[in-house]
Amino acid sequence: MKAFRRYVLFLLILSGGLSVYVQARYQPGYPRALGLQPDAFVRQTVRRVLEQTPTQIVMLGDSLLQADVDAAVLSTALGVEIYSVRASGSASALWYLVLENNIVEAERKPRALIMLFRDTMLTLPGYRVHGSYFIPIDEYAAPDDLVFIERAYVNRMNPLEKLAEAYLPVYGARLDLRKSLDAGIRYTPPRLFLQCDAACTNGAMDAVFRAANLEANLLAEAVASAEAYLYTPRALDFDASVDDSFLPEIVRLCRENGIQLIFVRARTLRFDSEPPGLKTYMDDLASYLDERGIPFLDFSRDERLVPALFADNLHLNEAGRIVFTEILAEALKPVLK
Amino acid sequence: MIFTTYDFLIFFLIVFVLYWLARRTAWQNVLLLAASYVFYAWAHPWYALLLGLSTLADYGLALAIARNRARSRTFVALSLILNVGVLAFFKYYNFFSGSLFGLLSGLGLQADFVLVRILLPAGLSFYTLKKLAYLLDVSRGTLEPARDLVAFGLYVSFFPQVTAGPMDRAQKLLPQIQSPRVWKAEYFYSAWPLLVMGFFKKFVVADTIKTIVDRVFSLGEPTILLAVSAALGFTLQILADFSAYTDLSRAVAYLLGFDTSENFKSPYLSLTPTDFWNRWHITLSTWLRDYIFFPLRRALLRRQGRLPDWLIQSAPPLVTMLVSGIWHGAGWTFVLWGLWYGVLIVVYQSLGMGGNWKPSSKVKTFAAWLVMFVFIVFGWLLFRAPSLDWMVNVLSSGSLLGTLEEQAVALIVLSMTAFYAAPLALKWWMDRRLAPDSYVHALYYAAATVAMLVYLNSSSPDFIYFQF
Repeated sequence: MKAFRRYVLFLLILSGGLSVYVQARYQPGYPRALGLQPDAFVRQTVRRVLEQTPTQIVMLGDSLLQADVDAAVLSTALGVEIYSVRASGSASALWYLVLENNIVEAERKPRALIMLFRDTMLTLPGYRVHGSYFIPIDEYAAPDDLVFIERAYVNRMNPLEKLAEAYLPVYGARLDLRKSLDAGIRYTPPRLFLQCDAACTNGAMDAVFRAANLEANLLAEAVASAEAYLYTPRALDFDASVDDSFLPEIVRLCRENGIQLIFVRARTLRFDSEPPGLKTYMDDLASYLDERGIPFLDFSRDERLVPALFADNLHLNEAGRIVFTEILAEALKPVLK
Repeated sequence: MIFTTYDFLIFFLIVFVLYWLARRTAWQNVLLLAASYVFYAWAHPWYALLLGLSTLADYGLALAIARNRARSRTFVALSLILNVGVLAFFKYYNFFSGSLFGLLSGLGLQADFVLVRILLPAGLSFYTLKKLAYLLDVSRGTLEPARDLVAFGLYVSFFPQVTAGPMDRAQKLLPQIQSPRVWKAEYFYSAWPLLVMGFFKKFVVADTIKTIVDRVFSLGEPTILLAVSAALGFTLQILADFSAYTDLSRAVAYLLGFDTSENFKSPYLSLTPTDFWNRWHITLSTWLRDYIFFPLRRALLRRQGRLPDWLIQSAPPLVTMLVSGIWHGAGWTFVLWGLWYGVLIVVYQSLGMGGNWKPSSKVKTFAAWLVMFVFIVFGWLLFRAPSLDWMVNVLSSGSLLGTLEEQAVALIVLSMTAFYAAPLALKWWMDRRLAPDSYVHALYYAAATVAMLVYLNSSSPDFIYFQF
């Protein structure tokens, strides 16, 4: 009893003191706004390109778009100007932000927007929004974008987390506190013992852990483990996830701005056998898009994209890109308005 | 369900309130049994069926042994086939499926079905050993079989222990299950320091060090310095992770009125390999000792004179540790890790440094600790190595220090290990020198709680020992 009372007393003193420090150091406001907060800067690169060049089609996607589609060849095949916005490690959150804060803001809007995705990415708003993924998101997000913050972060938090984040400054500022602690541990010893400063240490980490140095099987396992998020029972429940995702907003923004929206599902070699539930999910997605008159081109079972055309189990190789770009051009011709 | 999730918090609050409202032991047991099955079935409902069926089988077999002692060997053999068979199938199927596929394909048979990946039910290794201990004790006549199916079912599936132990014996847990339990404040006072330490070790120490350790072990050809620094990091990670689970398990059990076993007693301060296994994963090592080491040793001693002395001395530790390695996982690294300890025990014994050995001076104590610590770290390097080829490659062709970049990364791993090991070392020192209700302890727990808040949500919630 006595020990517990002392513990509570010290806990109050420590957390109170640290709360004062957090308020003074980071000035987060009280209660703190929930979710990661983007800064005021919003990158306008895509908007500028659209305004400076006569672009009819914008393509959005992650590294798959980069690997699978040759935008110049596709542009020639379709006879229209195409701008391909390829952001490795991006997902529906970033695509939504590019659409909302760049594409629909441009004076000259494109005729069509093509999104290349795989599996459940479109209805997982919390996918690729934390850690280093926040850096590009921060660039395209505005601080007052409540829909984005709500769907990417707040909806994924449990009630206890929401309370703690808003009212416990130590918890709310944990990422900043962690960052400064980590920096101390990471940079001090190399600076003291090897005369290697922060830039040198970061360079060392990048050099040692670059993809070429990683054991191929372990890298594949790590990727598979990180991607498991796409195939949880909740992720595979289309009806339960769609309303909280960015998909309805993407559809709305395109409709309101007269942009034809087309979804393209890429083929991958990710599975020997598809996770149970993915087919049902895809059927539900197809119905959802069909009801809204949105074309959905599904190449996930296209036998022309044989394993020899893949660089790894996700991305096509050079030859694969040529084949897929031709296939995609043929499929897009009857669909494009 | 995992102790460090929001789902568990809600689940436990509901169970806790209903449990203490129930008052009657029979109702409390039914409630805990139902809760244990909900807890276990949370991720994979079908695996609860496996737990239930195998519990029923062992319940029946134990009663059959008590009723018909003459045929007890048959019933024990049946239980062994059932339990070890199920464990072997789920645990080692994936390891052998590739070879089986090759064999069947070589015979011209369509064998794609063989390559289906089997997911190991969490906790299977733990509750299988619990049930085997129960059956063997009943057959030896040292334990009366439980007539109450609910009590036996609860003993096997008790949710604080079902996924990763501690593997309490029936002699310890069953009497508690069958006794009346009324809420006492002492339960909470015993539980809260364990809760604080469990969350602290998991969120702050284990999950943080894991991020860098995993990265080094994913390198194709790390330098020896990098591999050793990552092995040191893993040495800290596995202790923090597993002992965190045990602390949380014991705290949850306390809150339900149960006193369960400790699993760790400063294992990295061991002076000999026998000492290490008396301090590390204690409930497993006592299981191995009582059901493999002692019976094997007795069997060999009965043949004394016909068998060479060195065989009688060395076979029991070697076989016991080999079984320990295989129990931990299907892979040559685990087999070697087990054998490593078996060989160490044999060597130490032959040097006269067996179970009760104590160094005669502080210098010798320090030297013995240092040598043993190096052996422990090497053992964890074997254990964590992605494959045997990787290990051989690192030791045979890896450069010692590598480039400046590699040295800088090794230094980061070492400094992280030292930084996150320091609070655990401080706690060990405090526990030895200060009263448990001292101001310093209270301050330590408060600081640990604040640190936990800062490190919350930083990494994966899974505990390492779930995979074994």
